Amino acid sequence: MLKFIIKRILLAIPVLLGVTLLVFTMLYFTEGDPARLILGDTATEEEVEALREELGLNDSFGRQYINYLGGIMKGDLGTDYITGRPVRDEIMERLGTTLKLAAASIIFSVAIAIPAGIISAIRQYSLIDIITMVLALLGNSLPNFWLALMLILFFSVYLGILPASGLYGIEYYIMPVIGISAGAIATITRMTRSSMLEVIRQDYIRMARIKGQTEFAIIVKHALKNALIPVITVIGIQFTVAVGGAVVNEQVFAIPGLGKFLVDAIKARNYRVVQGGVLVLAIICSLVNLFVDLLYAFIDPRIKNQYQESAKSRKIRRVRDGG
Amino acid sequence: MPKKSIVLILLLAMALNLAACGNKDGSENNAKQENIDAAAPAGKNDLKFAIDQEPASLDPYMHTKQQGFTVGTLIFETLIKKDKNGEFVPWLAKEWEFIDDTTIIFKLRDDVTFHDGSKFTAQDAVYSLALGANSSFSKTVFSSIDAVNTRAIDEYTVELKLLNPYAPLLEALASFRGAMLCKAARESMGEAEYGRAPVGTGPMKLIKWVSGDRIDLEAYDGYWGEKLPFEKVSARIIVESNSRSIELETGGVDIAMELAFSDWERIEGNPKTVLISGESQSSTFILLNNSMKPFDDIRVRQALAHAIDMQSLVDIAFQGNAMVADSYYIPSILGHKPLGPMEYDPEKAKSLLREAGYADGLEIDFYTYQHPIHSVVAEVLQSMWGAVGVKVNILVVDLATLTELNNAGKVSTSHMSPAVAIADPDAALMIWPTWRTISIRHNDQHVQDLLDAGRASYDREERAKIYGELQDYLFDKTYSIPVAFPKAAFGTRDYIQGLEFSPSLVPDMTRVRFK
Repeated sequence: MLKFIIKRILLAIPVLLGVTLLVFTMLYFTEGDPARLILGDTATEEEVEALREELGLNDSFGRQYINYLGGIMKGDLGTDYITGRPVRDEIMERLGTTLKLAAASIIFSVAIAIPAGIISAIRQYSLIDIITMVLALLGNSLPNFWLALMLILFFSVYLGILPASGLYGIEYYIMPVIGISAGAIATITRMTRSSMLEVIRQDYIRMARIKGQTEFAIIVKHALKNALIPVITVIGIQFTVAVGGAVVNEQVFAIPGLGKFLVDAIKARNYRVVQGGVLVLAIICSLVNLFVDLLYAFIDPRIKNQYQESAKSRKIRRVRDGG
Repeated sequence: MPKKSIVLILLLAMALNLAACGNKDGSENNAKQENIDAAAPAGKNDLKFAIDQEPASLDPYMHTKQQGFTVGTLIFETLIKKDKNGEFVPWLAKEWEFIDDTTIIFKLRDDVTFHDGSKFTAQDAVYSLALGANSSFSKTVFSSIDAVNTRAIDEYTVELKLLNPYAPLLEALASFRGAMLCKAARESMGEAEYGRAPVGTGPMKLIKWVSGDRIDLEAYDGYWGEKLPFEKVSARIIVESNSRSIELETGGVDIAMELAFSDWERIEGNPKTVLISGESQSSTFILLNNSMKPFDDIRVRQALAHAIDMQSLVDIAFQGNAMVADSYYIPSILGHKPLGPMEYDPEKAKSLLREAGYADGLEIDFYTYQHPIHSVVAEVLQSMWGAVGVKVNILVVDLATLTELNNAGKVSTSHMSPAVAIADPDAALMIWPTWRTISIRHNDQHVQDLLDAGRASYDREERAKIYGELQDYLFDKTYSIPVAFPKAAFGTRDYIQGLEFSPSLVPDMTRVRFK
């Protein structure tokens, strides 16, 4: 198992390199000159040129990329063109907030969505199923922006019980978590429902019923465990979305998160921030995927076997081939 | 929690007290009730205000953003200030004297200290003035300062030398652009770090800057002047304008800057909040690229101007919150001369186009980016110019791309609103010098000559005359088309007083008090 984890982490390295190259290339060919944006309209062409030189923007593509990679190896993500501060510090300042919020949102989503999905599945076509599915449809299709503002209008302006924006205490988390979770809850509920529906029609469920097990045990022990694999995949995806894609909610609730930071950096052609931010998101994404894969093994012994198998069989092959 | 309950008990006690008063005399009660209604929550000694963008730096010589300057009014101070009547008054400088047109002596106060405890001396002033002259951000207003020959005569006397006579000097020094920095601190910290943890002489000092969230200031104990009644001031960064106004309405902040037009009515109608609005000194105009065909032909430029029903355009784009531009800068700035707008006359526009050889119509590109006002202007112009046979292709790019294209002279037409740094005609006409790289490119030496003449004259009447002539000239030449003098607004809670609207959108935060 440990071998599997190490292998996966090593495999992430080429992926991350690919990400840096892709982002670097895209920004390199995007129109818009960072030096001009920093100095503004009133700067002369000479001043802009001098800043371009200072920022290394006049170097060739290859040289710029190699310099950047060299920095990353030393743990240096470069300097924010606009504030002059190290990008690593700026990202770290925001990462904590973002991860906390994303984790809270995913826990909240799972707590609501999995029970809702199960109930919908075992009471298929009942009133509760229909209501759940309509709500899920709404959750997926309501614009983030609108939902966030409605939450503020209702809880802060009308009821006056929750603070409208910021993140200065536990009560501040409630609305952003709901706002970020809405889409995730809907997606996870629908996935749980369809996955459960597939499983509860299987023969071994019927077998369990014949054995006379309680309905609760059947659902939780037999059905849910088998239905969870696709659900976990979706949860993993939703978590990465919550980390990097909560831009609108961050803006409306005035939360200093990573998503909004990156979007602003793209607008300002703040190359190092975009590159650093995407790299960090890619690392988080890889880790989440790894974690999801490990969860598969934990839930399904067959997958666990596969992980161990593959390492074992390769060893056998190597021995056989005289390696 | 216990703090909150104490506040509640106090409020209850006050309410009971009031009720007791009411028993004695009804009318007095009413008066008192109003008074108390508008009072700040008991025990409140912190001020929270919302800004609409995070400043990149608080160092006044490292950026041009109003948000950074607004926070900066609490941290930094200037040599002189402007009082309510627009007169220049001493501040960090006790007195000043023009020796000749290019030499000014400033006598500094000797009781001023920086937030790190060190004394404010002539060395710091000389350092700051030189920064102003050399920084690519502030040189628009300070390029006339002779950074080499400006010197400290003794510990508290500065001799400011100019390269050439420069009339807007005092206006610039009294503005947030002329802040005095701590030489030793800035040199040892480096400009990036100093911009993040500034050391000034102002009544508040920075204690914490949480990226993307807020900037916290606390009272500076060693402040030389009258202390502010706040122990803490917090500038919260709330980018979304809806959220900013809601925070104000729900009492989350005491002041909200830069309210969107759509929120004005609600803030004005709410008994707990006050709207403070006025004309911003940054006007908007339609940029025409005079180095590009067909805009090098005055007949085409005038035809385009005559084809615009300016009142309708402004009403639609600014939702009634702007004045139609009648000249090249706002009326409150020296020398403003009401001239226009150019008469709305589609027939004349058509005949001008015919004369210019475009009888069969004309096709032009109009650049814009995702912006609630600029994109509406583009659409309205498309229809108005379309009515006289000018086909408009609207090209939507992002702001970064537009800025680059604009400075490379590749934008044919566009709607712009450049930020004007100080309330002086020289700054208000900042887009007109021939050295500017933006896509007006008129290359007209006469414009430059008049600008130079206006800069060099210290006589107000003479200056007004020169700028009057320049406005006439620009109007005749129609190198660009002025559109609007937009209004802007801040919102405050009802217990805030002293916050005055500032056309530069940088209100002096040190004047804010609770009622």
